[in-house]
Amino acid sequence: MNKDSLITQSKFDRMLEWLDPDRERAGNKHEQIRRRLIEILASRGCHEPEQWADETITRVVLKIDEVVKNFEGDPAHFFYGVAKNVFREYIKVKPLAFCPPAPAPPDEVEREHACLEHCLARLDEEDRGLILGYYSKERREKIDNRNEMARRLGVAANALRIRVYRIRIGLKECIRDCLGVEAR
Amino acid sequence: MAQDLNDRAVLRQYLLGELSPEERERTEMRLLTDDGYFEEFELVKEELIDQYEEGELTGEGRERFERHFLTTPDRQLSLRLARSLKEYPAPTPEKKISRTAEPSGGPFAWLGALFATPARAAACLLVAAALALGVWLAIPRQPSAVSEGLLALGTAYRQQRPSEARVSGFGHAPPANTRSGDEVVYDRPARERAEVMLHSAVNKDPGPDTHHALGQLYLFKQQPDDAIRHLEEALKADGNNARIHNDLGVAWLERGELELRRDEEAASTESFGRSLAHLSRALELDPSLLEALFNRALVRTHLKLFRLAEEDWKAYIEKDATSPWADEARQHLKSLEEQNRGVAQDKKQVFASFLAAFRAADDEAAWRLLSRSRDFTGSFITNRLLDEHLEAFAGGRDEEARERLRALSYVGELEVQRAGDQFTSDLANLYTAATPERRAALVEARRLMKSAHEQLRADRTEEALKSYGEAARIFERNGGSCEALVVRYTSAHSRLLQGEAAQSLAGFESVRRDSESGRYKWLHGQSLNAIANVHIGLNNYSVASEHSRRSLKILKQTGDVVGVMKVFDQLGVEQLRFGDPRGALGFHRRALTLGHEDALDPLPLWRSYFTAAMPFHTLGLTDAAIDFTQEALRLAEDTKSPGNVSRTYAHLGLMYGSRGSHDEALACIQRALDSARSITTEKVRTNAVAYASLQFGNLHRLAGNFGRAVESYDDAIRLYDQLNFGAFSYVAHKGKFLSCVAQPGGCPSLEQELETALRLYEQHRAKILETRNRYSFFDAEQGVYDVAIDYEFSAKGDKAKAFDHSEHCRARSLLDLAEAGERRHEGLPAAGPLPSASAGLDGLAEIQRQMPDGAQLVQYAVLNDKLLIWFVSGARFEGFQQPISARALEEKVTNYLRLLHARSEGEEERLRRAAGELYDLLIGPVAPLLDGSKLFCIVPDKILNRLPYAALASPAGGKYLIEDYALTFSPSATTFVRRSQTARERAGAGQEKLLSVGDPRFDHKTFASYKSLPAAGDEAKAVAALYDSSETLTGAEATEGRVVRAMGDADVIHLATHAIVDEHSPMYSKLLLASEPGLAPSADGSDGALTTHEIYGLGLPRARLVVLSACRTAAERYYGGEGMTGIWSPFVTRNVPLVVASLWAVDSDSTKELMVNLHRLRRRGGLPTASALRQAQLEMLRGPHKTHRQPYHWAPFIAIGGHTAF
Repeated sequence: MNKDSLITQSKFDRMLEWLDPDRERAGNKHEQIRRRLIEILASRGCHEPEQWADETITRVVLKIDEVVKNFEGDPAHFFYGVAKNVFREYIKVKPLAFCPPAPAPPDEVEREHACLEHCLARLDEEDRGLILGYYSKERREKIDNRNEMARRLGVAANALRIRVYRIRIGLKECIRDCLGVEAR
Repeated sequence: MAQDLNDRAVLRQYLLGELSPEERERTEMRLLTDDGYFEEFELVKEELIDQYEEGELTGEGRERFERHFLTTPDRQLSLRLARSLKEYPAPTPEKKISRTAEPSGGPFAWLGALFATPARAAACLLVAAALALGVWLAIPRQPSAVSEGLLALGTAYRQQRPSEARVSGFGHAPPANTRSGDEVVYDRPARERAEVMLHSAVNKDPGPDTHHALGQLYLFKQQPDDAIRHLEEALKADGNNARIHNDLGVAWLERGELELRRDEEAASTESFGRSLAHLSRALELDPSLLEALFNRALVRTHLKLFRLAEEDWKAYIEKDATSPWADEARQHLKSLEEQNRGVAQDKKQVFASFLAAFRAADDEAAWRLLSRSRDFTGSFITNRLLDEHLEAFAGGRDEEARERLRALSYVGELEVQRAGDQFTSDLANLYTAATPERRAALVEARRLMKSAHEQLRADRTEEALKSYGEAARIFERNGGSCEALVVRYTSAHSRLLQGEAAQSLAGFESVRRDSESGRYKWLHGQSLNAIANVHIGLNNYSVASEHSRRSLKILKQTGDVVGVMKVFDQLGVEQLRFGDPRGALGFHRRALTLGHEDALDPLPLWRSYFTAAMPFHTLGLTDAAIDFTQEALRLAEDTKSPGNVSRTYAHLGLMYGSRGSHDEALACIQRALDSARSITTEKVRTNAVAYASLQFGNLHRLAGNFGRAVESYDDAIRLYDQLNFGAFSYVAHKGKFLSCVAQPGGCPSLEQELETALRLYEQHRAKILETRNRYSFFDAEQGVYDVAIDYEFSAKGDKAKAFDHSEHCRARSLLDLAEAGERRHEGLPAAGPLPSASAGLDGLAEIQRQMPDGAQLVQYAVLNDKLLIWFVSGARFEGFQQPISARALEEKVTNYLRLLHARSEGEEERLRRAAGELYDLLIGPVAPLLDGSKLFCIVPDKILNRLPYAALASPAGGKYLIEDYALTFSPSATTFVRRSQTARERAGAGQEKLLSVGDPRFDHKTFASYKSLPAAGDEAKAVAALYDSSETLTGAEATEGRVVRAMGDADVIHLATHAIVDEHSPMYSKLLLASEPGLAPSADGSDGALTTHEIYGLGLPRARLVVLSACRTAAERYYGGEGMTGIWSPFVTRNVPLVVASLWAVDSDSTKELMVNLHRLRRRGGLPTASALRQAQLEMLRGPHKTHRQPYHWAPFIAIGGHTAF
């Protein structure tokens, strides 16, 4: 039987409640933990980190009654402990071979190009100018250009970096949507 | 801040898998709970991606990124996004990002439809695009990926087309003015769509249509090289497609324009010639193809074939009178006509303008007009002023006479002031002071002189010489030594026309001496140029070139436009004789530019078109050659010289012959003979008939009529022998020899002709002093030796003699220079001819005698239709033949190198297959003879010089060649045995002293595109640590002066730095070193770069091994005969027994690993260098770094030289 089918709505709700009594904040926290677990598993060499992050969450949900009763502290720590166990199982099934997965086929790359074009067009003028300006130039010129952009905007270089990062995250999500990939 | 930096460093290590398990857990716990930390984590991820994409991650870091970081599709997507953003043009106020109009139904309706249900969406797209385009686009409405892509391309450029030329199938849009720096206006999303579709189409179906369409995309993107690549690919499969030919013509036209903007005149002229070839072919295949006619008019304008361009525009307007293209054609035609009217000033107008300038004391205008006024007889303004003065004086028109004399003095003053030329000043003084009697005598002398000039122009040289002789005597008797000098000068020309080279040369030399001492600059420059011309006839090309360059300098000072033009043409002729047709085209183009601006007579323009045609012909660009010769023919008729007409017809015949138009060719040669026979002066006639006979021979040989060819060559040889005129002897004998070989049954005199042709070849090469010109000459003339090799091997079955011929023509400059023991190259004074090493060249028997016991050698000769392979060891000699043409072999090698350099995933199998094919071809025949315990020396030929033999893989066992043999390369067998001998002499058991140089602090301002090489600095230190006695110079210490001084005292020299290869001037390839602080570049010759010509001058008495750990130090440019040139070459020339150098641009980190291991295996493993290199390569091949296992990383370095025990 599929484990997912064992997750009842009530168990899931209890897990959310454990994360935060406020339902909305709990939902955000759940998403946050999932996203970070994905990054941790990817950094450990797991090729399908989404799948194994979900597995981790499922296991926590399945044991939620016990967990709520016995565990004290930041729930994130509990998720982390489970994730490590899950990862140990993963490497038994798929011994770690640190190598990248096969590159995207040419068609996919072409679609990405088209999607990038589309998503850039959807950005507002300022954000588009900012991100394209930020990635223009190379090496020394690039650094000078970024410093100059920060100066013009009246912000620190790091603030500019964060701002561009956020635009880029949005852009990436838009591209994923465009490609029909499920957003994480 | 410090904490932030530390956090970033830890996160970076975490992402690259560099943390211990404990640190990793701490980091992960924090990532889960600390929002700011996680945001920093995301930023570090993006930073790493950027650094990887920029190439800032190298070596281990790069590998870790690929193995540890790039593990998920999402991270790969991030990488591709970064790459796309980087490639995306930055927005500027002029060039904003345009938004795609989104059809209703959501943002991705068009995209989804395009990719999910292509057929339905394609139809919609077609309708939308067609509506947008209106009449602009005229391509077939086929709903294929190609037509969709082309529709999108049409949409993208509907407002402007990027260049003047017409791409086939596209309608009219006004041309962008890109020359003024304006950006081309285009619809970016539409072009992106076109790119996606056309790239995808080529990937899915790489056929002629898809390659053609992609080529068109690149034309619009103004990337002509990419366009050429795809259009040539298309043409391979569809060679008779007029539209592809048209577009390839456009691509070459665009490339030529780009080159012209970079002042690369030679390259641009060649590109225009290639463009013309394709456009003419397009019109031949489809005379109604308007695009090709339009484009041909454009390219003919670029080639300065203005009359033919006018004809094309007129023909175009006749065929298309109403379209917007026709409006452009009319505009072009009008410009050409205006331009022609602008320059069509005759001498009368120029003289009137001069008088006006004189009267207004407008020195600038007067000087400009004087600059245009000269021909080989002097300035017509000066002569006319003098004549009018004398006439007015004789007619009693005193005021007019005085004014003309004042004007003459004015010319004299201007020439003294501006050019330091005393001639006209002396002339004015002579006539001012002349008594009436003397004046009358001088008038008579001038009459005789002018009459002789006319006789000379009409090739009546005997009459001219008579008149000149009389005039000279009168001038001398009456104090007119300056005019007598002009007469002596033109007399020498008459001698030359009669083929009397020795008398002519003596005459010009005497004029040179007297004009130099009299400070008659213009005559001095002219006589130098004439001397150069005679030396060309005597096949003394280097002497000719030196005189031409001196002449150019002087004539530029005198402002003689026509004189400068003449020298440019002569330099072009010399370059062609040196075997450098591209260089020749550059000179002729400069001459034509001057001619069309300023020439008043047809003669200089005739000369320019006539001489410019030959380099085109040599490059196989027959259409351009014919166009130029036809233009020359029109001008030759205007010169009224039957000799010029005859020579022009002879060339035209030869060119028609090359194109396969045999009847037209024969008719032309016949007219050449007819014109030649109409010359009244016997010697001039003989010379012209001989020349026409020579071209008859060439024509018959081209047509395969070898018997007739031999007869014509015999005629030419006999006539030239009569004249004792050696200019074309080599050409005639070479032609006869090639005809004899090709003729079934040969000729009775074949052996003798072979001997004569090779003897004359040797005489030629001995007269060429400059290294670069020698390389070019050998390259161009290698065909003679190739035929001789083939004749001995295939026809006579004498494999040993064939090997001797092959050996005889190899690396001769290198051997000559080694023997001379001194540098002798361009830019340095040449005291005399280089000693020929011919006498000392080793034949097979001597090579076998000297072959080291532990060595075996395989030598290749790439011939037109076959590959010859010889195996040579001390005891055995064998020869093999592989039936593969030079072109097919070149394709195989090029394809293999392309795969090797691409390092593409998924291409490994293709790479292996290509390596296997080459192994079978090159190693297969000799494999049973090879002894794995011996050093395997390879002597490559032509394209094989670029091949990394180590990476050839046996298809049988899959092993690389390097797994079975230690390899060494040598440019010839003689070089191998001689360097092996040097190695024995330098193989003392004493301690090796190392000079190790790495990462010099070179001048980053001058060499701005080169980065520091920290890995090379580490390499130099690591290598030094392996030697007991060493000197290490890195960073600022590695100055040119210190490095050069230390080289003289070193046994082993290791240089890890940047190499800059100059393919055009091999003597100026260089290794970057640190600049001398506080020293001007010229203070001690240290300019922070060690050039090839400087290395030739070094004393390296101890050096036994030089390691050039830099890019492309083994591979600069290969020449037929001479082989590969490169920075390695001067070291081998300077008797260094072994050099390790690279075939391509190398990766700094993998090179460091390879180099340190090479020295470790030499020092600690006690292996000879070639074996140590082999072992180091095997370690990399079998080592832990996956990327380094690719041949790209371990195969670039080769050992060059002899067999060494160290």
